[in-house]
Amino acid sequence: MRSPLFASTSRISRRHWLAALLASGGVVAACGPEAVPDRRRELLSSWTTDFLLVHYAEFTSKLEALRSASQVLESEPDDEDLSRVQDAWREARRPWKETEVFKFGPVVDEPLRYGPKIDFWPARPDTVDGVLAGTGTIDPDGLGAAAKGLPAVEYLLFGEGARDGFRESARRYEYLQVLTDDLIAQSQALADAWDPEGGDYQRELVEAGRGSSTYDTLSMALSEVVNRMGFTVENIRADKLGAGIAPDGTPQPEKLESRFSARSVSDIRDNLRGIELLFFGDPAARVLALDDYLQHRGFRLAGRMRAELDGSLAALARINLPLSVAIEENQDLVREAIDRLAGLQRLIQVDVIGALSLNVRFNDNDGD
Amino acid sequence: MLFGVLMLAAVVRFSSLGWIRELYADPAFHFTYLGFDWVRPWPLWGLYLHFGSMGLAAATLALGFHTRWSALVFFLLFTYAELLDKSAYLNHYYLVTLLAFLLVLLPAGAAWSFDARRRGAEQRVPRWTYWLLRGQLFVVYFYAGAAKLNADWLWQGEPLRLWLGTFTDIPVLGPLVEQRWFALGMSWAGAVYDLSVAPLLMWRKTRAFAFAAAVFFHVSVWLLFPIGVFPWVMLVGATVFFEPDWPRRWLSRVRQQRAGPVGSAPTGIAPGRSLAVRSAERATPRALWVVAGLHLAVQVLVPLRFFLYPGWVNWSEEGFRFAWRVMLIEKAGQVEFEVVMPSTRERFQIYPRRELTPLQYRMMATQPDMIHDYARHLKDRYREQGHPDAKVYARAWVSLNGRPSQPLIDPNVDLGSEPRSLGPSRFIVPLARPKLF
Repeated sequence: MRSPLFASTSRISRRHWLAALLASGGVVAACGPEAVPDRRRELLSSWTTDFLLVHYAEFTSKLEALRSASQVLESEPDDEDLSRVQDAWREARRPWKETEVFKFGPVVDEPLRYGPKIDFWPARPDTVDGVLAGTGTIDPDGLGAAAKGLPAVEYLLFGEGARDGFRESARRYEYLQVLTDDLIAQSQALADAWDPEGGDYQRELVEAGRGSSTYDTLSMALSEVVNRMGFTVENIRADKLGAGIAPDGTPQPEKLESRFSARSVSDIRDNLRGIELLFFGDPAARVLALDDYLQHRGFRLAGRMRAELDGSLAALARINLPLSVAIEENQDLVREAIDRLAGLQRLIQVDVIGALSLNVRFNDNDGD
Repeated sequence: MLFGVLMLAAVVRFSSLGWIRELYADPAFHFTYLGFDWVRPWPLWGLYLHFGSMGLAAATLALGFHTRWSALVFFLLFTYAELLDKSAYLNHYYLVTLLAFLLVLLPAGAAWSFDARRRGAEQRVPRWTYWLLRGQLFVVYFYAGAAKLNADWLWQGEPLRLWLGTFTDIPVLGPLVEQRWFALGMSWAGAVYDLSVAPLLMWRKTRAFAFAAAVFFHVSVWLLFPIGVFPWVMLVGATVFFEPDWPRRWLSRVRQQRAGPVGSAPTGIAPGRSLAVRSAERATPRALWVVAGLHLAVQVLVPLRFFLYPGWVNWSEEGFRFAWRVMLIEKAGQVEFEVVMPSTRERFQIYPRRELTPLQYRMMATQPDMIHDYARHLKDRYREQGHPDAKVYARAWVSLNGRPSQPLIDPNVDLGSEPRSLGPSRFIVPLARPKLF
């Protein structure tokens, strides 16, 4: 999150002053080459409208499907019933994990901070068990982040003895309903926070440099998203893969994301798919490509990005066990994936960011 | 006086923007300068007191109240703060340190000061005092210009092309600024400006033009890039190239205009008459001459020390600081560390972003000596935890001025065991592609 230090409205006038100053100095060459349009604003607009809001809408719709599917768990569910609901949970997970690059603004900033309400991980079974053991009304607003959201639902659906739990206790079903209802509400609220007809956080990015209170310049706004791509890969390496193995090699399954559903690696794949969609674009969904802007600026990095993404996905595919098992039985595969992803992180954080001069500048102490 | 006012404004701004906490209190680790490990941040209240005192010293310096002592206190407090963390290094902070030091030596409170009022008379200052300040600024401009005489700057327009490419949304000029010819034009203009402005300011016939160019240049830079008070320091500094009595002449002119053509108020000293006279020169203690001469010699030699190191200074940054290599490179970097403990056969990654502040990480990621410092910090940490044999390796990749990334640090060198020194660092990987594309 950027500090209020960036919240300046003086930049517009300052930039007009700049133009006036340079123009008055006779720098404007009337015979200069043809004007080149600035594509960054279009890029940010496309990413938020055609990628993010579309994904959030899909996420909400998948959560509604999960709620519908989960009704079979109310009375005497069998394994097949539970399996269908588990599939619905996995399905809901995909659009959400593909948007992980946008883990800023309403996702993490107070007072909205929807991220932990939706996906506080790793799951804490003791917390969920504590709610199950209770007798009072389950109020989602009274639950801490560890007792709700997708990881808590995951534990209810995939935790040991889940089917029997639903058979033996109505409270488990009641808890699940409360959580899915809350997830739907939170996902809608998050989408609304970005929506131009709602909280319009999208405007902060798209209108950077001309009215945004968060980003003084368009470059800062683009920098936010591209830097987040790099952070996402680093988080995959450090937290989603690396945290599962202690320095001395001891497996730490309790630190893994989606460990009960064995979806840990799929979550990572979805994260990478999100990055891929932003970098290469998606013509069918009208999502514009960062690569087009890079090419426009004279940098051809698509080949390397394709190679790094494919190499990373191949390394993940070689983890042909649930991650919680792989960290016990074949740590080398996990370490290989961590190392392979380093190339992707480097490409984003060094080559892409360097090519576009998108290093986040935190204040004017950060210069020469 | 102007310097004191500017410094007071800078201290107030620095404090009000929360940078005391952000730069000095928040970091869990500080990148100290070699030989200055003992310079440590005070507790937060002490830092506020430190900067409050600095602001007070700037104010009394502006007022000319015990001017030398004010300059000395300001110099010491400012320099201490600057030595706290390398990641906060800025060339203009270094210049402020030097100018404050010179004001300790020079009779800055000779006129228009409380000191002069207390004495009951304005003091005459020797001519060489102006030439010392001019010499200091000449050095800054000259080395800043000389550093730009490289292929990236002159033939590729880098890094200005990269930087200007982020301004394509500004009115009128937006479409032009990302053109290479535009960046090349700006690059050449910048180099010519830096190399010529000091001599042109010295010559009376070109002084007005040179100052106008300085205003244009520094204001443009201030508008384009977030470099704080540096442009204003340089513009205030440029006034030392004027005739010493320019404030009196300017004031006299203003008074005449206000009073009309008849009956202008006397100023005490006739317009055009300089305070700097030969008699004052004779009164200068010999020791002061020696210190001033040594200061200038150091200023001339220190920026040249990069010749003592192998490789390109813009890549290795050995000899880069304190050398007026201003706005010269665009680097993006990523670094992580691998810690190996042979006794327990443990091997794991350290992601420094998790301990360092964003500014510290960004600065470290491209600067070999800071990567080395952090590796030694990790080594110390694991030694204290009972692992004296811990080895620390850095995986650092950097892109310079738009080149493809390449390793900056030899990944096979145990950086944690490499001693700190001013000598060449054997762990820096040379730049593979000195020429762009």
